[in-house]
Formats: sequence, structure tokens, C-alpha cells
Amino acid sequence: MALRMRLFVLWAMLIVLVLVAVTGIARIRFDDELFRFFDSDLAAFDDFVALSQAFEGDSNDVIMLVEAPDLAEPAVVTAISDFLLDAQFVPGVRAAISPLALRVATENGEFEPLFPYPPPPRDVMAARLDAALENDPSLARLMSADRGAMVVVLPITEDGVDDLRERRDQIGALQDLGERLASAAPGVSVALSGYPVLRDSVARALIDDIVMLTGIGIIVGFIIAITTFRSLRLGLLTLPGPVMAVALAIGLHGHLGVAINTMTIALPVLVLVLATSDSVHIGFERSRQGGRGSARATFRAVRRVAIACILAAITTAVAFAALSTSRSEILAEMGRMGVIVTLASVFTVLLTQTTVLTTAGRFAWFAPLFDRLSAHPPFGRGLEHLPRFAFGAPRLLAWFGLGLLAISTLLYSQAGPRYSLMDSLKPSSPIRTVFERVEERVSPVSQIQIPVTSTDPAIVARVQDVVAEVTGSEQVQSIAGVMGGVDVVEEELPEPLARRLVSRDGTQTLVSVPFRYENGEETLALADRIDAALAAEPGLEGVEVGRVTGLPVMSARVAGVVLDEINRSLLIALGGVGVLIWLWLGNLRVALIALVPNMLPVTLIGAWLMLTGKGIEFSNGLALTVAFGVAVDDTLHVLNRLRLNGGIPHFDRARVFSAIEEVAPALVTTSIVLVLGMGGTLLAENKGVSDFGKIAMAVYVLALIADLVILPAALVVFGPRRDRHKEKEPT
Amino acid sequence: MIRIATAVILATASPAAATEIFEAEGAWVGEGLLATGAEAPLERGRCRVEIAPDPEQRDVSVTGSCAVAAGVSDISLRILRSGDARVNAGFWSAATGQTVQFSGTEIGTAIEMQSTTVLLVDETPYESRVSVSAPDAESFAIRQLLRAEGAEAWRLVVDMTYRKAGG
Repeated sequence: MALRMRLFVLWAMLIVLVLVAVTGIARIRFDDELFRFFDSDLAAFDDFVALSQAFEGDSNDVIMLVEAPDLAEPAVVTAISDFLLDAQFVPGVRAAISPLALRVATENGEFEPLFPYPPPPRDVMAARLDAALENDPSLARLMSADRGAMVVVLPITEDGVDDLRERRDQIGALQDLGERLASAAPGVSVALSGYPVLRDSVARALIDDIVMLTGIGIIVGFIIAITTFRSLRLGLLTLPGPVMAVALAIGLHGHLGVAINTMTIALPVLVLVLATSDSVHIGFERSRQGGRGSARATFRAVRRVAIACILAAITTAVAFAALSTSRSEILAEMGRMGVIVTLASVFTVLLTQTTVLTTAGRFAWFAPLFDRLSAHPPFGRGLEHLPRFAFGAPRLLAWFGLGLLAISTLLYSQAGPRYSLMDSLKPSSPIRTVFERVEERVSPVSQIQIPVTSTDPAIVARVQDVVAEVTGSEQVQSIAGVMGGVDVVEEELPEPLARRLVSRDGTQTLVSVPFRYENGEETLALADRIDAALAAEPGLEGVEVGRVTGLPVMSARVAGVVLDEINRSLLIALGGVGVLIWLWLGNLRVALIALVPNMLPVTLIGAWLMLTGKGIEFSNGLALTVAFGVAVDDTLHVLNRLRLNGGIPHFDRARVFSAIEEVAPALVTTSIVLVLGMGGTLLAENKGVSDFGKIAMAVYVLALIADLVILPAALVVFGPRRDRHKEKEPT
Repeated sequence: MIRIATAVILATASPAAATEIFEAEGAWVGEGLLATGAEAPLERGRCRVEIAPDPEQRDVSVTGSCAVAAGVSDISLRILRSGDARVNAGFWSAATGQTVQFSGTEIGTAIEMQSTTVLLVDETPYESRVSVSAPDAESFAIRQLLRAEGAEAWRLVVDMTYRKAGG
């Protein structure tokens, strides 16, 4: 009767969790939140916000690259003209910046369209364009010198409630018109790019990725559980906990109003692999409890591994909590969500597996499953023999581990932060390819911008000259290049164009220069050179010239700070985990030793990133921090087994050996779950997710090896002194 | 805002045969040439408008926008029959923020109108003439001329032919 009541309560709690998960999933939303990443209290972000409020930025510009054998061909000109006229009728398209909008001076000093209508014969138009390309920097920014490529910039609005859908409709309509343009004249190709297209692509990829990552994670967990337990039924019984945990993790995003974005997308799959690992540990422990009554055996098994599972969740939560201190709002949000979902996950998996296994225990087919498992113990794929290697030469391996840790830490500390706006795109991404083709064939796309609190063309011209000198660019743009200055800009240009030169309140002007974006480091170096040159210009004394900004500069400055924070988070996580183990076991020496096998994977990968020149990118830095928290799981299960065997108060070599022997198959299995469960990330469309997965998987593999080799060796050599003289040979 | 106002607002002044404007309904697309200012050269343009006549065919409103390569501008107009083949019209453009009044006559399938209020461009007043013709059964053409007050020569600023959208 008591068991029935217990089961009733367990099922009631489980049903509540299911309802929470389902109702939350229904409210989930996806958003790239690409720009929110930089939302912080840093001065560089404040500068950018002030710039965005005063001027029109390029973050809403759809960039269309038109390529043709010769853009002077009348049929091509007519097709492009058709596109431009129609594109401006697409709701939300506010302007069209293209060579067709340019004017040229006639012989009598009047101005006429660069592209007359009807279009003249190809030879005439070609001569006209070649002459203009030589004399007009505005055309050089929009058309290649060989007349084979042209850029059209279409600023779009995003003022609707559902930005994602609005943006998607606008881009879809422009794509349709682009296809029509491409088919209107022979040899013409059209490709869209720009930040709105990038954001749409990232948002689409997020939806695909989360389905794929979760699906692969569940399938992998299931297959590994079947092969480990050698039973389809036991494999199936391993699944409910992880599935519930991942559903709840996604559902909590919905309830808390946190979008699945390029940061938080990694959380569900992390929860999934952690929960699968917990579930496998419960399965192993349940098989050890085979001699007891079914319900009692299940409760006891869950109780015995619960502490290690909870501690593993807490160590992961500590890593996330460290991230939650970031000045980047979106990173801090990911940290907070990470804490919530990892802690929720462990309790969900413990509750679900207790309920499911206890219920299954009421059926006759259940107990024999574990009898069979006892007869054929779970296999550790050969890796379970690694500890024997460690016990063969513990002193050598322990010192080797420490030496390796020292060297790799030194190298890791030399790895500088690396950041690129293109980090979320794979090299093969069509958007990235178009960006690169535009830069290669026509003109750089990225902009450096300097706000000047003056509308005096002479002063602005001085700023423009300094910028031109530092950058070596002839394409610096400001009101200094507009005959008639601010008045003409305000009267003659469409709003989205005028606001790129003069602020909304009319008190500031903007000097901007396109530059070829390589990475954050080079961008910052260029920005610093411009800042220094402007500060040193005597003609600008008393003129309020703002700091160099723009999306690439701001993102590079913020990224540098945030990447340092991520590294600091790793140190916080490291300290937190050490303290946690110390408090749990009451033994500082064991706690410090336990850190060695968990620091090693991180420092080794950090050293590799430094030596290969890759540096610490967002995805790498995040993965190292989060994976560290997850990887501690193995160590905790070793220490838990040592504790259960009485090895903490009565530390000796035999107990270490015994603990490692017992837990090794589970460690191997759960590590395979972690590695292969994250394997789906390699197929992710989002490059950041893919990079995150690669680093996390490498951490898990190295952590397993370190836990099976370095940890036992270090425990034997550096373990509590008072018992070291009693060490016995393993039996 | 780009200065396509002077011409563009009038580019949609009257559809098809003048007698048919009050019967025309739905979406129409104009193709042709526009000047983006009183003294600007003609360039290719396109207009998209919605025509909504009243059931008694004495009053028609036209709203939409006109685009050239460099920009787009919203427009709105209303035309009224005042009897004895007389028509009056009022035209507004977002580009200038001005409403210009016209008055004229219907002669067969054609309308001829002359502005009764001036259009101010850079503080210079301009007067305007609009003619509507019907080259074929499916389309109507509009020509608009503009001149500064006191000047002798008229400048062509709109030459636009409309067809039913999707037709």
C-alpha cells in the first residue's frame, strides 16, 4: 500500500513536469539575437547605441550582388532597373542604393541619370560607365571596375511585432524578384546577403539544429544504452529520464521567455547528454542491487548515485553561474538558464527514472533483465583496462600529468581572444560566400564610422582626410563629398541615405569608410590608429569627434572583454568545483587532486588552440567552460565510489583500485554518451554550435582518459599521506 | 525625401480614357518616365496605385506610390465630376507635403486639366498642365507639363502609361 502511494505521488509529480514541459514548448520562440550578444554596459556598446540612434546603420541592409558578363548590356540594365523599381514596392523596403540612382554631369553642367532610359547600346553605356568609374568614388563602391559585378543595397525595416516573420517575408519577396532578374537576361546571377539575410539564415538554422541535435542525442543515448545493457528493454527504460529532462529544459525556455538563440541552443543537448549519463549510472547501480526487492533495489540504486549525479549537475551549474556574471546580457542569460536547466534536469531524471524503474519492477519481465546483465557484465570497450596501466607506473604518470598540466596551462594562458562576425557561418555558407565575393569583386562591405558634432563641411572634410590617410581608402564618405552640404543632403536624398550622413537631429555628421573585415584584432588595430590620428590632428582641436565605432569595431571591442570574462568564468568554475568537492569529501588534498584530470583537458585544448593560432573564440571559450563543468561528472563518480567503499576516511591504493575498477565501465559508457550525444553538433548548420560541439567532445574524451589514467595515479601518489605507508598492491 | 513629388503626384492623375477613370477599379501599374524634380531630367519610373471609384461614378480616389531607381514616394488624389464635362482634382504627395488643386474638362476620352493652385519647389511657384489620353482599350497615358510662373516654356515631367495590374 505504501509503495502504491509512493508510486502515485511519483506519477503525479511526473505528470506535473510533463504539463510544465509541454505548455512551455508551445511558447518557445527562436531568434538569432545576433546583435543582442553585444548588449552590455561597455563604453564601446554605448557608443554604438548612440550612433544607431543618431544615424542609419547598415544592420538592416539587404545586400544584393548582381553579376553579369557586362552590366552595360541593355537587356541587363533593363532587368536591373525592373528589379529596383519592384523591390521598392516590397513592404518594408525603404530605399534602394544602387549605381542606377547615380547622376553624371553633362557637358552643359546639368546632371542626368548615369543609366539613361531607354538604355543606350552596350558600347555607349560601357564608355559611360568606365568614365564614371574613374571619376566617381560612389560608383566604385557599388560596381566592379570590369563592369561584371554590381551591389544593390536595400535597407529594410523591422518594426513589426514578429520581426522574424516580417524579415522573412521581406527577404523572400526580394529573393523572388532576384530570381526574376536572373532569368530576365542571359548570364546574370543574383545573390542576397547582408545582416538581415544572415540573421534570417541563423534563425532558420536554429530551428533545424535543435530538432536535429535533440533527435541525434536521443537516438545515440538509446543505442549506447542497448549495447551497454545488452537489452532493448533496458535501453528503452533508460530513455524516459533524458527525454523528460530535455523536454523540460526546452519548456523552461518557453515559460521564462528566453528565446532559443545561438547561445542557448547548446543547453538542451547538454541537458540531454548529462541526463542520459545519469540514467546510465542509475541503470548500472540498479543492476548491482539485483538481490533486493525490486522497488527497494530501485530506490537504493537511485539514492546511491544521486549524490554524484546532483554534484555533477552542481559543478555544471557552477560553470554556468560563472558565465552569468558576464557583462554581455545574452551570455549572462545563457548562464542563468544553464544553472536552471542543469539543476532541473538532474531532479527530473532522478524522479523519472525512479518512477519508471519502480513501475517496471512490478512486472515479471523486469528482474530477469538485470540477472542477465549480472551474468554478462557491461563492457567498457577495452578502455576499462586503462587504470591497470596507471597502477603499473603511478609515480611516472602522476608527475607526467602534473608536468603536462603546467606546460599546457602556460601555453593556454598565451592564447589570445579571436572574434569574427562571421563566426556563426561555415566557410561554405552562401551568405558568407556572397560577402566575400562582394568584397573581392566590388568593394568592402564592413564600415568604420566616426560621428562628428559639426555640420561644417570644412571640419568634416578634415576628419575625412585624416581617415582617408590612415586607411588609404578613396571611398571615405561624408557630407564633405556632397555639393551643398547638409542642406542638399536633407532635401535631395531619401531618408535612409540622408541619415547615413547627417544625424536625425541635424547636429552631427558621420564620416564612414568601408574596409575589408578580417577579424576583430585587425579591426581594433585600425580603429585605434584612426582614433590616434584624429586626436593628433591640430585642425580638429575643440571639435567634438566621437570615438571610432560601427558594428565591426563595437563587436570586436565587446568581444575582447567578453572573451576575457569567459576565461575568468572558467577559473571561477575551477575554484567552485574544487571547493564543492572539498566540502563534500572533507578532504582538501583529494579535492585538489580531483581538479588535475579535469583541468588537463581544458588546458591541453587551450594549448592546442594557441599553438595552431586559432585563439579563443566564443564557441571555444564557452565550450571549455561548460564542458569542464560536465566533464567533472566522471571524477565525481570515481570519488563517490571511493567514498561508498570507505576510501576517503581509510584511503589506500586497494580502495582506489577497487573504486576505479567498479566505476570504469559506467564512465566509459557515459563518456561515449557525452561524446556521441554531442556528435549531432558536427552536423549543425550554425558554425558556432558545431565548434562548441567539437571542443566539448574533445574535452569529454580527454577527461575520460585523464580520469582513468591520471586520476588514479595522482590519487595513489599524492593521496592522503597518513595512509600511504599502508598501500597494498592491487589484487 | 526624394524630390519626385512634382511629377509623380500627377503621374496617377487620371486613368484610361477620362470617361473611364470613374469606372476603373483595383490595382493599376504605371510604366514610363518621371522627373524627380521641377528641373530634374526624366528617368524611368513605375507607379502602383489602387483606384476606388464611388458607385455613381462622380468621385474617384487613387492611392499608391511611385518609384524611380533612387527612391519611392506615396501619393494620393481625388477627382470629382462637377457637371458640364468639368472635372476638379486634388493631389497630395508625401514628398512635398503639398496638395495641388486642378480643374479641367472631359472631351471624349481625354481630359485636359490646369492647376488652380501653385506647387512650390524651392520657394519657386510652378503651374502645371495634365493631359490624359487612351492609346488602347487596356491602357491610359498621362503626360504632365510644368513651368515656373512667368516662364514661357513647359517642361515634360511625366510620361506614364497605366495598365491593369496583372493584366
